[in-house]
Amino acid sequence: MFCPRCGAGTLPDQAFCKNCGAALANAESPQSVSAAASGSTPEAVSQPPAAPGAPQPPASLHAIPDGGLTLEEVVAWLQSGGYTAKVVTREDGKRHIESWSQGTLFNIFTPGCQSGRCASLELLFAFSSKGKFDISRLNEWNRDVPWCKAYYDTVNDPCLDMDIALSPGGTYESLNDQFATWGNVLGNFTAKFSLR
Amino acid sequence: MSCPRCGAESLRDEKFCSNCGAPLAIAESAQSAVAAASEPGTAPGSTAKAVPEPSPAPPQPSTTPQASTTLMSPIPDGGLTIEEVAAWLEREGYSAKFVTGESGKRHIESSTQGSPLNVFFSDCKDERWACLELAAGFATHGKFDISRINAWNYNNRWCRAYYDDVNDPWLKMNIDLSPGGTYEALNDLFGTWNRTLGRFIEEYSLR
Repeated sequence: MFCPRCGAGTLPDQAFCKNCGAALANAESPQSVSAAASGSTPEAVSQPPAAPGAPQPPASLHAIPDGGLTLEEVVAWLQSGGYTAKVVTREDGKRHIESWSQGTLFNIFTPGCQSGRCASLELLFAFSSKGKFDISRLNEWNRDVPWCKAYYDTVNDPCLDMDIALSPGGTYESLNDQFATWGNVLGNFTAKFSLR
Repeated sequence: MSCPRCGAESLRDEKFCSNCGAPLAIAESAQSAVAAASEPGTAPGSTAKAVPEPSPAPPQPSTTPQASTTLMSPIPDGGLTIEEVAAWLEREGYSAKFVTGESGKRHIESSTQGSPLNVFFSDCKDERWACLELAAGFATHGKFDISRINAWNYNNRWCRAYYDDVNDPWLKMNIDLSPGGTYEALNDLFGTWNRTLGRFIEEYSLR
């Protein structure tokens, strides 16, 4: 048997091509495995697609340290991208970061840090609407828009919230990508609800 | 040589694991990434501005004195195919069934915490998907108190909750696979999903 994508020879029990990594539908395909595991009828299972693009290992990844980042490293990362960012100490002594995206202030909280390193970030935007926000519109947001959750606080002001995991397995490439998503979604949120 | 992801044996000249499809250059590339991240030098470029002025450019990686000491298993550029996601779920002990929706788009049906789990896909290129959406919905036959949904989103991290057109509750979570995704992060986030879903089910008595 041969790989449908690259033509390399394959053995019957191979699930993936050793040369290009393509899933081998001629072997025990993921579809047939799934059908057997779930007990579903063959009719309920989709036909296998054409061979996907060859998996390309990332050329290089910039790993985030085990345990995550310190607040100072998060600030340095933001500033390296041209963002204003500073560490703020609250009255209870706990610290968080203030930053801006497209002129909009947001906070970054880091719950559960250990030895100064934080395994996740919680990005939070809150808008003071002075009681003018229509809270009934937020469910629609959470139904339709991925990545960030919206809610209203104890005085019915709207908030947007996104969590980003840094460790284990975090990379700066993923962090940058998710932070760009945050910026896009935050821009859409403030525009949709006229929160300027 | 063994696969850094699944442990299956492979020959030195093989580029991909025949068992799980992982690139066998993983070990080398991850080590070089760790080394690169640990190199001193390039300090963050710009300094803090006096007034908030956003930049369209995303932040760049900052160099840090400590790199990850864990050998990472990167997800291929572009993300995973639907078949690779199903294989990953099955390796983790979960069922995975392909379903084609009315629009012709495929997703995976699985189950966690005793409840159905749907895995939807977005941001596709060459049949590789860069984003997953995990979704669990619960048919309550009109018994769910929708006034409680905001409290969930206010008090809990990672997943967003909402009620649908018939006032049934849903929990959803998005996972970024590419660029920069790793199986370690994917597994960690899936564990977070399971824990959060368990709390959601318990809090709203959705068994």
